[in-house]
Amino acid sequence: MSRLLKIARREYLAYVRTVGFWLSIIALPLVLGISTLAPLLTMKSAQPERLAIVDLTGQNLGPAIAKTLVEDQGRATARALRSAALSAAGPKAQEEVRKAQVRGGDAAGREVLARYNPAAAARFKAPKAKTIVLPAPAEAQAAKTAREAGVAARRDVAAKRLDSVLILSGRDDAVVMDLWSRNLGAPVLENDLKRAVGDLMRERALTRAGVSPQTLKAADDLKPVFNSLSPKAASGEKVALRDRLPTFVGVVASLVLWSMALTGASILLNSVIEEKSSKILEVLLSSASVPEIMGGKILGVAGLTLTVLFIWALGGAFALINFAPGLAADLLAVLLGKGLIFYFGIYLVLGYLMYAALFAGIGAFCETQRDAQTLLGPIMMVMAVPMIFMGQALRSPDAPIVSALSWFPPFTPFLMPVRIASDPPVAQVVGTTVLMVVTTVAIVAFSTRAFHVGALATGKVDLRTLLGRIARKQAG
Amino acid sequence: MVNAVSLEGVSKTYGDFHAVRDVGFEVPAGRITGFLGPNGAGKTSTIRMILGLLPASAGRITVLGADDATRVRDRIGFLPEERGLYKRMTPIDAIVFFAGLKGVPEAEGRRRAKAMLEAQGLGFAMKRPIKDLSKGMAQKVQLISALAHEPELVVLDEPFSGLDPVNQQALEGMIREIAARGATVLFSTHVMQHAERLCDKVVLMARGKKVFDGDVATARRAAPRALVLEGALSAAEVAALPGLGTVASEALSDGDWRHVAALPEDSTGQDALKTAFARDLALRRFELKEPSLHDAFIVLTGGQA
Repeated sequence: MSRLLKIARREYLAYVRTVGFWLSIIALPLVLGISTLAPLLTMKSAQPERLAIVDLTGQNLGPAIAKTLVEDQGRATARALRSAALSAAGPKAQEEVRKAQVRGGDAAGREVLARYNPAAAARFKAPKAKTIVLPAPAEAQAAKTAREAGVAARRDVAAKRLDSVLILSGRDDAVVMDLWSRNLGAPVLENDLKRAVGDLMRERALTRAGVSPQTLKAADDLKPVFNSLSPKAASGEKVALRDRLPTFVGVVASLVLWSMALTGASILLNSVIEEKSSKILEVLLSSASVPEIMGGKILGVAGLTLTVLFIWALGGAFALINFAPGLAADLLAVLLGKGLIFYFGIYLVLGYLMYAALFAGIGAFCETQRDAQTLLGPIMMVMAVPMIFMGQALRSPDAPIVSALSWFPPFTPFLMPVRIASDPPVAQVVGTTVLMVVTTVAIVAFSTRAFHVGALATGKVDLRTLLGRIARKQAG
Repeated sequence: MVNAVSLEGVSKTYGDFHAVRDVGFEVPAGRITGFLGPNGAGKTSTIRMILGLLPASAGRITVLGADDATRVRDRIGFLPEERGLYKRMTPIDAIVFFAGLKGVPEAEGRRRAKAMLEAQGLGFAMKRPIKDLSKGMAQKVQLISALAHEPELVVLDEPFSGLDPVNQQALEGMIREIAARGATVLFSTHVMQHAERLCDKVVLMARGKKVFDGDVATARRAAPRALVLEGALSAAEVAALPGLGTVASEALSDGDWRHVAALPEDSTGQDALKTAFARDLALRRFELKEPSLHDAFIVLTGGQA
């Protein structure tokens, strides 16, 4: 085994045997899982809002509002069923479920889903009702004015007999809604009620103006047929989810590459600082060449990051295949079909190499983390730029600013994965890649020189001193 | 091969600073050579140039027959001045790793590491993390790491620094063992006593220049022998004795004086002693003092280290 591989193996084993490494592998999926599941669990565990309606308008709006809220719940269930069909069996199943819902309601939709994925159909649970409408307490019901009703509502809400009480007053086209709530505002309920009452007011105003209920129903059902089209779509025109998937995959890949490059480079930096401060570096230099030491360390840490990626990919694939096989198939098709995985591989290798070499070179000058922070400040600022423009890249991968920034080699590995999904001109792909390769080679050469100078240097080092020492080494 | 290491007109500059100036000497193969000088004398820079860690600004260095030490790095063992090991590694793994970098197969490295650790009384600690070892134990582990590949040339930079007297004595024993198996040892130190006890040859450095290169006995001869006289006798009475050179005097706590008189090369001090007794001087104690390496160093550097 060559010296480079021996150094790589030591580097790999030194970290992979620590508890911290395995904790860090679990940490990210755990945080992601918690942040995804927490809102769902919160929603599931949340009790429905107990709402009472006191109607002083004399127009019998209460039952109509309650009916609207029940209809909202039905629509939410239908949407959830279609979403489950998309995750479990793909867009075709989603469309079939939708058609079945139109024909025979959610029960029919569920039967269709069961044909595609019985487990998903069995697993499906309709979302809990957000609100249940209860009869208003007698005192509030007997109130003659909004003020009297308000006094009673306040008492009922404060005593937790109800979560909210809606008092409707005013007349015809000037309905006033007073919502007493246990919380300081209930934005979801407020919006639902505003929409429901607004719809009723419009409907009744139109009825008074002579519009028949049939016309009203027909007008309500009017919806434009919307087609999203693009020459970049796989079909050549109509945009499907699979067409949009590559951009999302690009963003996720970009974030993963960024975090891998940063994490790997930081591990490398800490490792070099440990060896420099404990003078191990000097012994290593007497046993191996600088390219062997740096190459071994970079390779060893690359092994670590690949181990992390592999474990995450394996866990992700397992979860997708079991819980969203349709999405898993689409993802695989996107990654392989457009060759994205090949580009991601190139950007991962070059991005990691660029930053890992730079961090290793800097680490050789540092005996403490504080020394490193002084020198790393400018680099961290540079690394933050692609993240600032990530949102823009997601919305518009070919925007001039995103396109221009992707030509800057330190940003290329993080912005091009997002852009590559939108089929940028070949010249841009080749040009940015060539520029990145040249820059990476230059950075590796510069860092190797810096590593040699830094490994034997003593004393405090700032950026100016560092560059001066490297320049002298070059001249010497 | 006569010389394991040879330097000719070697200099090292850092910008305007001359760390090493026109230094030349040889390290005979199979011998122990001391590389002596105070801190800042240029010893570490010279050692780094010998090892190929630093390029020389001028001059020529040959190590084990090669112009570039990095070509024969597998035949060299090196212990740096400030020492450290991977704290979470065990001694046996650390030794196997460093021996492996020098080309020793893992199984053989493990066998040697075990044997050497046991020989140094560290068998019980071979699988403990290095961070749990005492400083003396960790330093032994590092020395074993530098020797496990059985190098022909062993370069030790200030190997005694930081060691207590017991461990210093143990290290002297290890250095003698290395030489006994035929390896060449070059070690730097600023403590002359170690060199006096161990070295066949010494190279003295001061302010980046070589001031002496030869065996210990020759180095000592650079300083004069001295006759020490103690008692109730004055400096004038001592100065009047025959066959003595310059006299340095100091008062002792009991009221007597201690006079150290340099002996010229042709003087044995006998005439001075006979005369002192003949004159019935109040002489309480006398001693003929051979020069130490330290005395020689002071003379050779003119007292300006």
